[in-house]
Amino acid sequence: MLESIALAAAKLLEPSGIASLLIGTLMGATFGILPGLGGILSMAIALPFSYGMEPMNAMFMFAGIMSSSGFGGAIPAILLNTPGTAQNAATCLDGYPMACKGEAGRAISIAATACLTGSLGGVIVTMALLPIVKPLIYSFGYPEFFWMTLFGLLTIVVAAKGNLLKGMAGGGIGVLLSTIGYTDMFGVMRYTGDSNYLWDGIPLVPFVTGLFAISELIVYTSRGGSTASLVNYTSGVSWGKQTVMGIKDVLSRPLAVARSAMIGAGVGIIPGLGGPVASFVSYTVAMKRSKDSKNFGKGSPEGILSCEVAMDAKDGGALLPTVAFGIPGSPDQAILLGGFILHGLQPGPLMLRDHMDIVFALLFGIVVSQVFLSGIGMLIAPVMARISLIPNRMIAPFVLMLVFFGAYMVRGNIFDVGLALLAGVFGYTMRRSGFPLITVVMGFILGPLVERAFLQTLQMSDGSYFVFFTRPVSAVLVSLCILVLLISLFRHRLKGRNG
Amino acid sequence: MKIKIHTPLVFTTLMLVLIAAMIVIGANYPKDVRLVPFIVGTPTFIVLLLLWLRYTFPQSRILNSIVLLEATDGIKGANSDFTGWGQVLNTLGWLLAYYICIFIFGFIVATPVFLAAFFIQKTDVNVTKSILIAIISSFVIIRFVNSLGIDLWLGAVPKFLPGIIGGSIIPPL
Repeated sequence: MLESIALAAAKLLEPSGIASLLIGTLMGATFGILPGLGGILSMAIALPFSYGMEPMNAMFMFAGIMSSSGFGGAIPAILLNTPGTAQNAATCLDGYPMACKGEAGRAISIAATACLTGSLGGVIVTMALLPIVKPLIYSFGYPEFFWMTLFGLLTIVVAAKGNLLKGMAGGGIGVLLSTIGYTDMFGVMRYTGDSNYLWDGIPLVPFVTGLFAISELIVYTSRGGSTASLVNYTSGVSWGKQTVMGIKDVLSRPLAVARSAMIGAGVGIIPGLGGPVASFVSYTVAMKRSKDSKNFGKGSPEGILSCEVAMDAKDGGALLPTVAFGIPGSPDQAILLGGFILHGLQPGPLMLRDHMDIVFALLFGIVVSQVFLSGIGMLIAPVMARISLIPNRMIAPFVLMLVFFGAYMVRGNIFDVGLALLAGVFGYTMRRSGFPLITVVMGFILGPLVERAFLQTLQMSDGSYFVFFTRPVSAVLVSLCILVLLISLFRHRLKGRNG
Repeated sequence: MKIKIHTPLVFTTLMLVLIAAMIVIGANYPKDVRLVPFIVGTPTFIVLLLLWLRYTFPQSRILNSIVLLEATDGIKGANSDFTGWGQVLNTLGWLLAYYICIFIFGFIVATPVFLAAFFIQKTDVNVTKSILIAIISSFVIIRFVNSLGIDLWLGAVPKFLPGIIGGSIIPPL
């Protein structure tokens, strides 16, 4: 193992290794900043370009992309309430209110520091878990996967914050919308009518981008002003000081960082859950454990910290099932699997035996890329934060242009642009009616995963529902789900009675 | 006369109809296929119905006790983030116009025209600067997309200037 560590570290110090890592980092951050593009698209674009590279350098490039898209996506989430990537949606909850209070620099600095500590934490957890990874992953069958995904879905209830019924309705609408299209489990179409366009279902990128970005664009273009104009922007704290405050916000909460890193790495290990679940679960836990939970959703530094740390820690954790079993730990790592195969590397137990240097190259790449990006991020945070002072009507056409180009680019279908527009109108009406948007997205992303796991479990047990409760890990997870639901309902009723 | 639109009621009604339609259509699917639409659709419908009743009968004590804090917005007063529908429809008009322009004339023509027109009409930027900003930003994004090897949509009109306007094939809808 030490030999593999030394080999990966030595390769990373070579000029070609550094250059590959920097290219990946810049690419991931750029795609992360642009709403609707994100890590998956940048990985997909990088994949063919990696063919001519040395395998280790290609891994550095992929590590750079995976690691940096999260922080890149946090910038529009904080400044424009528009998550650059789906996993940054939770960052909006507290990042944007901070920007509205004139603390955008502090929020970006928190995100940069949190991403760095998260990456480091995730890699440490992953390296510690490497020896015991096999029994852990083998203990997760379809029933456990179902409960874990359902747990992610239940965080909707908490994300709804005082809007329990609307949150539940939003989640339900999201799940139902996700059922549209061809279902490969049954080989039939659902709710497509005679439309060819709906065969593949509602495409994720235009839907989510439109829902968030266009609905927000309608709000701020109609309203005018600038992001930081709602309250007195000159809070008396300079941008430079805000950057330092942001670093202190993270470093002064080592327990919260450690907890979020463990949650992120833990969620990352479970295949298919990915960043959005990691950030929301971590946010929920942080809110429940925080002494200052009332400030969550109103611009809490701890809120940003919890989701950004977990989101970046997830990358390290997600590598485990990807390299150990060839099961992608997150959607972007599905493309990484393609990268392995392209470079003649067979993911699975043999990879852990024969190519540990590649595994360490990815882990080191994630950390070093984050060191580089967070350093740059903290330096440019004051500059980036000034975007929040530009009049909204100056920003709106650029955001719209990026959303329309981004919606089109993924599939090259002009109707995807129209869908993004429709989703935007739908999202705006939802916002105006008091429905939390994020619940629809959570339902839309997690719905198909829950359905698949549910039906696979039933197939596994020949139609018996007992299997959902009788396995030890399942029993623990179902108890967790019930507990979260009951606590949320109890709090909601209590809040209602107290007026 | 100023017409006041009760957005939450209208939205909840539309969603009720949509979910009801999905449940009814789903009833025709085989057992396993309709399982999730039923399991998720039925409670979603009930929740939406509760909200709808709450909006329709705001004075009902029973509904208030069930729904508790829900549905108070839109009844108590407007959120400061949301302006009147006039401004919103104006913004929507711009978005729709940009999309229609792209559909007919393609990204390369529609993007600078939209940007310039928006800046001139909606901001304090003068005409020359607006046109310059529009041309430069359109050039950058178009070059970026082209550098990724993605063919941009050139418009539904017949081929007019090859590679710039027209000739794109409309995908099946």
